[in-house]
Amino acid sequence: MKTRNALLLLICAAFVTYGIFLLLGQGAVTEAVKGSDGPGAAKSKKRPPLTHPVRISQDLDGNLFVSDYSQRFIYTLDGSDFRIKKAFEVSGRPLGVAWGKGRLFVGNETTRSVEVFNTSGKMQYNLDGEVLKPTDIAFDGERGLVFVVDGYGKSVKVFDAKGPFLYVIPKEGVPQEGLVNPTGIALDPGRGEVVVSDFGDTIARIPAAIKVYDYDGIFRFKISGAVQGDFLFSRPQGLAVGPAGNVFMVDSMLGKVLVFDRTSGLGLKVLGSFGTEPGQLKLPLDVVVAPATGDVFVTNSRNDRVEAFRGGGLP
Amino acid sequence: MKRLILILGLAIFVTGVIVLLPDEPGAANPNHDCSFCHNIHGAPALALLKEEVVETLCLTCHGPAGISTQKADVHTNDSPTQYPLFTITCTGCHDSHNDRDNWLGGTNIRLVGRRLDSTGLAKVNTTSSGIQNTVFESRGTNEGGPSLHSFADGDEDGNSVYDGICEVCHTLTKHHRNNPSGGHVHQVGRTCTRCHEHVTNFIP
Repeated sequence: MKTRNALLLLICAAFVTYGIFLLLGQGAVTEAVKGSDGPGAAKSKKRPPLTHPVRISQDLDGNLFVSDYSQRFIYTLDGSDFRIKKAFEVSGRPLGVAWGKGRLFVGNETTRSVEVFNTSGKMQYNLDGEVLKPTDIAFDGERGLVFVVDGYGKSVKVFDAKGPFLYVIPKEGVPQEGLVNPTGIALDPGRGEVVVSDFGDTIARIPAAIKVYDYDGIFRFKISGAVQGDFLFSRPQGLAVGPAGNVFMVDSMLGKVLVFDRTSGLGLKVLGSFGTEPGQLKLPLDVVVAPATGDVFVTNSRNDRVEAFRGGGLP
Repeated sequence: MKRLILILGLAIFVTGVIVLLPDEPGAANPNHDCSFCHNIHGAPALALLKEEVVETLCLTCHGPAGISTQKADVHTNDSPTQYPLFTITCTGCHDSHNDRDNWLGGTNIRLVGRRLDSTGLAKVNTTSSGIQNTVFESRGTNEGGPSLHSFADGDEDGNSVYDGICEVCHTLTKHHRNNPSGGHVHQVGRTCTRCHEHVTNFIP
């Protein structure tokens, strides 16, 4: 009888522990995704495995587009089973990637330009003008605008999706908060806002921050990385705006996705932790949130995979 | 009395920490003051003691999406070579704090060579040959520097020591081993990283 009770207690304890573990995981079921050829995938001898995912974008069907800086490829992953559906090589080192109405805008560090491909990988055209380091890209389909973070140019360059260069954010000639070392970008088209992550400048004592501008390049507000105890950050990278308007940001040093309330700027929750185990992140560089499901996908660069936090983007 | 013991204990602790510190602090690189690495808000526990955390920290700036113009990655041999698969991370070659003096009396550049013993001279702990001196004072002729004391100068100074940073570990490569065997004339004195890029794991 004693043994039976002990066994029952043990099972009960294990169940409770598991429940606590899940709760501590911020309610999201995590999934480590290597990105592999599924049974139905077309085999290609030339296609290397995904090794250094940098930026990520998603289309309306839930496909994920991932740039791999090391392999010089753009991968298309199925967002549900992570089968590699397609991959194409880029002539140079790809950084930013954004899906936009059947096109893929790819920032090429080597050619210092933004190249436009169809989803099969056929080059269509270039956006006009040089971008010193096209580190991240966002696309507004309604307005037909492409926003490109120029890391070395310390600005966001805005293009017509057909090619012509339009203007720069922050707006020039206006005394306002500038960009110091911008890295990632996301859009909130509903509010007409451009959200940019900025490393700041350690030597000049300018802390890292998320900076928000309107579409014309006028500064609205920022969320500082040096203010909130549990939400301090210093190496911000990719951003996403979630279904409820919250701002998702990866910190590449901490190995975490920090979620901030858009209105108050307060930290809401954290996804992931530093490490190599499933659900853990090492040098994460970008994040997307699926609008319908709230699934959060993170390029887990140093772990050579994409990480999924199922439902992690829901409030 | 209690206060005295407390002060004494604190003094012993601080002395111990200073003595045990592997590297003396102070960054030679003007772009990196202490807070650049040591004031990472909320960094993981034991942040700067674990190699993988240090590697991540370096790559936050020197990795693909980082803000530095100096791109880097760890040293690996992704495909089978003469060596078993290996990964040499940033601190395998670089001292995170100082450009160190080398055994020939000069000073290394680019933080190459670590303090690994009481001499404080620039050295590398190699898998094949134990702790070796390394001399790296020039980035080679492609960068407009002298060939002497560059990545691999083929023992240009004639002291029979192959101490270039690309030579000190190699014992099975075709070129530039840390001993007289093999070839020592391949692109000697040139900037190895032009072809064996730092950002592509030094794989050509």
